[in-house]
Parts: sequence; structure tokens; C-alpha cells
Amino acid sequence: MTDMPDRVLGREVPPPLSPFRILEFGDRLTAYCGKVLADLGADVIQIEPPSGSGMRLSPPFRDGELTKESSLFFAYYQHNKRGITLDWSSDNARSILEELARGADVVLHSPDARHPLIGFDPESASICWKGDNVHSCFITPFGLTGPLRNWRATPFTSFAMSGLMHPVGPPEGPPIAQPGQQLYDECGLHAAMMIQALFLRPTSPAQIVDISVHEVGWFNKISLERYGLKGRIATRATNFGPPPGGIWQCSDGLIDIASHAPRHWDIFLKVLDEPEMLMDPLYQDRGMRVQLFDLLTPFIAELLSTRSAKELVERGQAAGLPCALMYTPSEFLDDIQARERGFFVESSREGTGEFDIPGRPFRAIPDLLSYRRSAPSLGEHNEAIYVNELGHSRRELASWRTSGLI
Amino acid sequence: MASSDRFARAILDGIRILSFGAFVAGNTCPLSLAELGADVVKIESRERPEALRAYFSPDHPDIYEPSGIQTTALFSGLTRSMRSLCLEMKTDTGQKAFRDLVTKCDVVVENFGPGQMDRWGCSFADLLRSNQELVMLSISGYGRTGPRSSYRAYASNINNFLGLSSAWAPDGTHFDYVAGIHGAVAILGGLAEAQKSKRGVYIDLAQTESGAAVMAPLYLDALGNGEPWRAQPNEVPGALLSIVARCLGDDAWVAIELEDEADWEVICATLARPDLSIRGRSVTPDDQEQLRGAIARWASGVRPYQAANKLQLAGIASCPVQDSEDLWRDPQLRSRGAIVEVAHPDVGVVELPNSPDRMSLTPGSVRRRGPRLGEHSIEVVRQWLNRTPEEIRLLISDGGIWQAKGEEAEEDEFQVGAESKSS
Repeated sequence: MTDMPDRVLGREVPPPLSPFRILEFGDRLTAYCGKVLADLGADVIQIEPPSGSGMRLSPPFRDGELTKESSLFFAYYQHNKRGITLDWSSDNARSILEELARGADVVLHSPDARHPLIGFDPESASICWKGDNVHSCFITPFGLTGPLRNWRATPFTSFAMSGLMHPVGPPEGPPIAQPGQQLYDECGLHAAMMIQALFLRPTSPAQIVDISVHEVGWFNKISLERYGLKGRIATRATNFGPPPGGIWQCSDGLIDIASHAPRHWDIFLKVLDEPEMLMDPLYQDRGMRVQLFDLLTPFIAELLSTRSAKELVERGQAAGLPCALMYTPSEFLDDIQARERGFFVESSREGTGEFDIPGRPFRAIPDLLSYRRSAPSLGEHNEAIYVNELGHSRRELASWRTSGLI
Repeated sequence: MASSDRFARAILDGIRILSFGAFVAGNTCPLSLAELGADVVKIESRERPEALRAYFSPDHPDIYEPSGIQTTALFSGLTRSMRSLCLEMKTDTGQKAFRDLVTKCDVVVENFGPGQMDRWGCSFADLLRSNQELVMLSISGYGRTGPRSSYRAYASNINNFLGLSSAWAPDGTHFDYVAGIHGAVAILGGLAEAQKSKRGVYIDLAQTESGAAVMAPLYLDALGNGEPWRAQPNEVPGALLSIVARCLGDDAWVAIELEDEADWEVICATLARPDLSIRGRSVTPDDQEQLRGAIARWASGVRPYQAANKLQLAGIASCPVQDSEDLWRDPQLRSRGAIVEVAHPDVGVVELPNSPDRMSLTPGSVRRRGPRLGEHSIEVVRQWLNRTPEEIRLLISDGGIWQAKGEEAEEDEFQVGAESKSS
């Protein structure tokens, strides 16, 4: 897909984060941070080792076939970025890195001892080839300091460590990890927020951002923290709220009801045409309903089992009861709401073909997000950046290629 | 260095935010910006206090502020770093005061049910008349347009609607935090836009869409190949092996992921099971079964940290499945100061997660404890609107704003920035 100029996108001013430039030396940890900043208009350049980023090996693949260009995962997370190759562990990369950094505002990096970035000193969090005015942002599983700083992690093990997994799953175990890499992406969003804050204050001296997945997961405990207050350990057996909150089997599928406000109980009764067995005023109190969980649950299960979930959601929502159908991921993709709002955007590139990817995480007027190019093929922008922007000759490029530098 | 001294205060110093945000998403969004230094004023109503003030939980027993209004540890935690302005939007004076405050602020945040801001005459179009560079964020479950725009949602509903309950478990407020931080990113994008265009920005953030963006791995096979998500619980697509194994102790578990062949060989060596090597060939389900058995046997004789530590020393990705006590004494969190004590006169001393937003010169931090209802009403009106004591008295007697008698906040350490547009 060719790059689209602003006027085609119908904007009067350049996108919010244009012309900031970010050099991304990363993987799954930096991916969403870079993507969000790119979607907001920053020029995000993903620097891959000559053999390609490890994300190119992440499933799913187009038609199930693994090639360097067939990862749908890569196509999503690298959408809107430019891509060049460079063996950034090699001493020979130093001078090129220096040149690249001259035109950049931020170096975004997820340090990995197995692929060290030349010139990066983890002790001082400094990058020697980066100019004094360039910010650096490090996204790591545990942070750059502390006793576990060198622990290796994946989204799966990070979720285990976060405390968010232990109370999830069948009471007898095992606890079940959330699929995907939500915590990594959430961490990337915190990083993106800080980088944007720096852009809003152009007079700020260069800063070092040290954000960790572990602390972002822990931050999610503001609303859930229990142990410090009461010494209580939430377990999978006690991880429930007052009925009718939760998931119920109906005649045509499953419904999820969230009844957090006191008025929701009354609405729930109305939607069910005020069933005799639930009309005791005692049940109006949320605390009482927690205590009577074992009594109320079979009543409600029986009442709902003969009703249509679809119809209950419509009636419930019309009456102001927060509830939803339990969809499979594919059913969500087919739902009218996100489709009608134009949530999905098209990715079109060699290797993964044309397909829809999740798009705008928020909408804005005027639109803050622009989808300008699909994820780069390996080394796609080498010539544009090394030759056209940095002024190297094609011959140099060829010799770097031969020596394995790019 | 003079400039770093100045920036040592806060990176978002001078940004003013008025927030009607409620519940988890509506509070954590402005909270993150407040902890980077934005001046966030949380607008509350005495007549209709936020539901979280009375939220039932055995861990958050009934607590009352001296004014008689209820609060919870949960609520005070989620509103930390903000100031509270008690403003009755049902009254004309309250609405007028709000519109006046809008002329002095950069951002308005709301996550009401559909149509509430319109009913107050405070839609984005209305507010633009007060401030033409205003950035306004509306957070909702399904978005402000489309056939489900009138739907109400809490986090569990989003979890179900997106397919995460079906693919995983019906748990969690994860999507509240995901929406909150997307909102913070959107606001800063909006401010950058408004700086350039000199025009306001309206942001319509649907929790379903911000959630779907970070749940992309669940959808990509369906979108690209028409194949549904079908990974089993604790199966990581692409990994050679992922396992949650039971350890020595009560409800004690370790999570291990082998990403590639090298990891496989290392764990075979670490467990002294060279017979399970797969060197030079691809893994079969039978290999996986055998290694699972070996890991399970080994793990059952060690404790979770012991297992993780031993594997980490060999370079394998593994972590204990921490419960809330493990987390409370987590050596990494403690050593990095990620747990912060916040003292509240009604709630007591509570340990909370610190801001995770570590910037070398301007780190995020808890700026203040959660406020009592209307604790800063007079202070905010005086600072932002330059109102005289007489004008403020009138505003109070007309029922526009409210503050408990004798609860005037002490003049704060919090500096209202010199760069704010009102000065």
C-alpha cells in the first residue's frame, strides 16, 4: 500500500504527533506503544535485525504457512510503522545508529540480554550513540532495577506474576492465564502516554522512561487490592459477587449480567416480570445477596434457563440493566456495533494479503488517528532511510548487505 | 540545571482537567494524568454520590466522612491525586459554574450514560462555545454512535461481548484499565491536535473497541484466515510448551513457557532429563506430553519461587503464579517502591500501587490522598475563577457548589502551574 498524504486523509493540519520520530528496537513489549504513537501520526521506524524481528515468527500466519512475511500478528502490531534492518548488536552499527538518532526524538527499546543493543548500558540506562536531546524509553517485564530485573518473561508468565491470574479458573486449578498480551499492550500505552507528555513539553531535557509490565499489572490492583487491607487472599472459590451478577445459561445461549448499583436489582426483577421467589425485600441489599448466594443462585438459574438470552439483553438494556451476550471472539467480529462504527481497518501487503485488522481504539473529531501504511516487509524502507535520508550510496548499502550488517 | 529543576515538578504541570469520570475507567484515566502532574478536579454531586462510595465489599466496610457521606477504601484509592469539587449540575448555578470552569480548563472527561451531558446543556458543541480549544473525552461501553450506543456496560459485560469470557474466563476489570489508559493517550493526542489546529477535539472512546485493540491476538486468525480462536486454557499459540504446574504448598503454582527449541533443551538439562531432548527434529504431541509429566513431577517437590528461580537461573521464562499475599511481599515491587502508603483521615493508612510511570526527571507519583466530597470546592472556584469570598458565598447559598463546614482544605503543596492558560 502506498503512503497516503495528509490531504487525502482530509486533515487540515498534520496529525497530532507529526513530525516526531521514534526509533523502535523492540519486540512484543514495545509493539503496541510504537503502534499507538504511529497511529497518532509519529514516524515510527522499527529497526529489525537482518534476519527479521522475532514477531515475524508469531502466529497466526496467513493460511497457516510460516514465512518471513506471513505473520498476521506482525501485520497488526507493525501497521503504520516503517521498517529497516540493521544488526544492532554489532559494533559496526554504531555510526549508523548515531546518524539515525540525530533525526529522532525517542529511542524506544525493550532490552533483551540475548540480543543486546550496542552501546546500551543497563546499569546506567544510557545509550552512548544517542544524542543528549533524545529521550529513551525502556519497556521491560520487571524494570531496569531490582532483584528480578534480569528475569525473562513472556505475556503468559508475566500474567502469572501479576496476581491477576491466581483467582481465575476452576477452584481445583490450575489458574488460567489470559490469552493474548493485554498486559504488554497496557504497559505500552503507559509508555505512549509518557512519550506524548514529553512531546507536549518540548523544552524538557532528555528523560529516561523505565516502565515495567509487572508494575502496570500491579497498578491494576488499585481497585482490587485486598491483602493489605484485611489480609484476605482471594481464591478461585470465592471470586464472585452478589447475584444476579455473573453468567447464566438461557435457552439460546449465555447472558452476562452486571448488577453493581443498588437499582439494578429492581430493574432485574422488572425484566423478569417480578418473579414471586425473588420478591423478598431482604434481597435488595447487595451484602445480603452475597450471603445468600447459594440460596438465590438456583432460583435465578431456573428462571433464566427458559428465557431467551438475546431477548433478555434487549429488554434488560432498554430498562437500564447492564448485560451482554457471551460471544465467542468470532461472534464479536460479526457484531453490528464495531462494524457500523468502522472499527476495523484494512491491512494490505505481500505475505498476509488483504485483511481487516482491529483499528481505532477510540474515535475523535477531528480524527486523531490515521492509517497510512501496512506493516513493512523486511527492510522495506532501507533505501528510503539509508540512501534518501541519511545520504549513503547504494553501493554502501550493497556492501552492508553482503557483510550482514543490514 | 535550571530547566531540570523546573521540570522536576511535573511533566503535565499546567494542564487542567475537569472530570465527571466515575467507576474504574472513568477514574483511572484522569488519575494517570494527575500523577504526571495535571491538575485534575473531580466533580461530584452530594445529591447523587458516585456509586463506588457505597460499593459493597467485605474488604471495604462502611466508612463515613465527617459530613455523613459514605466512602470506601476502593473509592478513595481510585480518586487519589485529584481534587474534589462538589457541584450540583441539576441547578442552574451549578451548570453556570461548570461552564465558567470550562473556560479555564483544557480537558473535560465524562462517562455518564447516554445523553446526560446533553440534558445539562453541556454537550461538546455547547462547551465549545465556552472554550474553543477544549478536548473532551467521553468513555462509554459501546461508543456514542451505532446501534448499541444506548447500551450500558460494566467491565464483565465488555469481557463477554469481546469473546474473552468464552476464550478465557468471566473475570476482571481489565478492560476498565485498558480504557482508562487509552483515554489518557487520546487526551494527550487531542491536546497536541488542539495546539496545532486551535480547535477543540471530541473523543468517543468505546471500551469494547479499546479492549478489542489489545485483544487482537484473539481475532487475527479469524480475520485473516476465517479460523476461529481455539487455543486451550494455558496454551500459548506458537510456544513449544506452556504449563501451569502445581508446586509444593497450598494452591501453589508455577507458570513456565518454552518459546523455542533452545529453551526445550535447557529445561531437559535442568531437570536432568536428557532422554527428552528433541535436538534436530520437531516436537510431537507425545514429546510435549512426556515433558509436561516431567515438569509436573519436578514442580510438585519445589515451591513456586524455588521453581521459577531455578529455571530463571538457567534462562527459562517462568514465574510463580502469585496470589495477593505474594504480591504484597513481592521483592521486586518492594525494592522499586511500587507500593506506596497513603494515609486518609477516614479510611486509614492503605498501601496502594504507586504510579508505574517512571520518568527520570518527572516521575509519576501519588500527588495527594483521595479527597473527601467537595473538599476543594472553594479552593478550586477561587483559584480557577478568581471569585471573591462574597461571590463564593452566593454560589454556595444558591446550591451550586457545596463544601462541608470546617473542611476547607489546607492550602496545598500542589502548585497550579504557571503555564496554565488562565494565568
